[in-house]
Amino acid sequence: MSTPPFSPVLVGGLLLRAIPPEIVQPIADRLARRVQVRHPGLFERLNPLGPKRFLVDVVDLPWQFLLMIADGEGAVSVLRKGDSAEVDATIRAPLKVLFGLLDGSIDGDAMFFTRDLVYEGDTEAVVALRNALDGADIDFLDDVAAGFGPLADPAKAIAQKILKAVARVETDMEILGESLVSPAVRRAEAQQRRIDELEERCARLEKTLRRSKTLPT
Amino acid sequence: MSRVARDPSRPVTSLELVCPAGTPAALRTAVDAGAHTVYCGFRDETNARNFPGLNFNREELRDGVAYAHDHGADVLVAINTFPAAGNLDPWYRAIDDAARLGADAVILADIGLVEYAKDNAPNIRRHLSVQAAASTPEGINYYANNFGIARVVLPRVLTLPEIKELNRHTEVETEVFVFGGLCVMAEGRCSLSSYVTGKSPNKTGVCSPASHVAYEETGAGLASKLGGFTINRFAQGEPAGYPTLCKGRFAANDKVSYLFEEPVSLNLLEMLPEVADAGVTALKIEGRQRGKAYVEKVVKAFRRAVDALEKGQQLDAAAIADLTEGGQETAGAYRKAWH
Repeated sequence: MSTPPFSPVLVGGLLLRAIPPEIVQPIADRLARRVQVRHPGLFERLNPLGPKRFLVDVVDLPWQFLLMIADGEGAVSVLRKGDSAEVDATIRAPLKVLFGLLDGSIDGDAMFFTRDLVYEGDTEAVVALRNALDGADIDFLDDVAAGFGPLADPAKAIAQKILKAVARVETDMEILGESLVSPAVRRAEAQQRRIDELEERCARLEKTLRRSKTLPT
Repeated sequence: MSRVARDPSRPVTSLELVCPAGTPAALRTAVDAGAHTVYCGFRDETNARNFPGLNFNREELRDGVAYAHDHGADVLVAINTFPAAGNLDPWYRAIDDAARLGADAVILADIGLVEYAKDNAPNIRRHLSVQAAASTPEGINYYANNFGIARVVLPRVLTLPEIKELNRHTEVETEVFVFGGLCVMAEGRCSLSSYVTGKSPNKTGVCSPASHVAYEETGAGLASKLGGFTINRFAQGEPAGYPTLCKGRFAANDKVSYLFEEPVSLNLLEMLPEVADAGVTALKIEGRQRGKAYVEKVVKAFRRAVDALEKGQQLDAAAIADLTEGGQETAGAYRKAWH
């Protein structure tokens, strides 16, 4: 999926374009360290693969994330969209899908079968990463909130409220999106019906023609 | 033949739901979702889902067994590949450790390993894997009489009437697949993956290993490749599938089609009354390579169905179609529509 979905994340991502990766990098570093400490088994599961580099392209955000794994440890580097990097595999999906993969609430295979998630490169590395993430029991909100120390619980509660509000806005935007494209969809459906009719007529004509050719003269 | 059942509240007449656990997290998810039993494997070639990043180390299995037992569920350990000549130790160790760590049964395919388990781990049950491809009463009873096999996982090539007839001629419990990926070939005897990749599901535990799989976006759509060969090409918007040779789309006689089998998943949810009537003991959900979201959704749906069946209620055919390969499902050979 190269076209991002019409969502609050996409709108937010457009607003975030002005923020350079250097500003986001320290946050990514801190989160990577926290995940490492709270889920030590995650990178240990990937050890048999040796060093691997994944480019995670969040299609509705202005940044990409370069995930580097080696010797049971992981690090993340934030890149601007379009920046090139030498990687073993590239994973491309909207933020919502990637979060779902992180916490195991979304089935990666199903997302891939339906093409909501695409990847290029080393399939074995991508499969291993998916399996390791799924087995790590990551609760991303929990991991983020843990950084707030004694205020972790209130921070998590606020984050959950924000996510609920985003989900509501997302539903509204879906309705809006459907409303905007419905005239075009109706036209496309009418055209498809017309094409089907023409194909049927062609098939009938071809059949008639074949019969007439086989008739004795 | 006694049941594995540890949960005393579960009636002995009920169908046992056997669920996949590729990781400890998936094991906990399956148990929480209502699995009566989970099955898993060690992180090596001793099991037929030897995928990268998957499976259990010894400590994880010990913890997993404790979690399952605390919640009234059982744990089966799949040691269902065929050992390489001259390298038997990993398989022997797997059986020894499964018994030592408290597993309730081992699922075995190789006749030599069944004998080893009988002699060296007599206190845990021995189940015959689908990889052994035992599909006749004579074959199954031979395993039972000589090696004390308590249960057989039936190959997915039998119809329900055939399973019912088979159950009339054996005391061995039967377990049948009810959901998930489908093998069109006789399990344990398929060499298609070896032919293209040199890796065998029977010996190294991987069919179409990810190390030999590639997906490439082309102008004509998404091409899926195995061992460098294009196995399928999916148009924009068409659901994709994993490139196994048996589910490839090939051109023959000027026609492009799925020559062997379409990428569909087995789903017997709506046929459970007939499955129960065939006299099977356990229902197996395939998918140790799938994630927790899949495990939770499928296990919950089947547990609801099993409970409803037991109470004589209408089955709730929950929407689990989005978890199927290629977005399509089939009843496979259980409801055979071909000759």
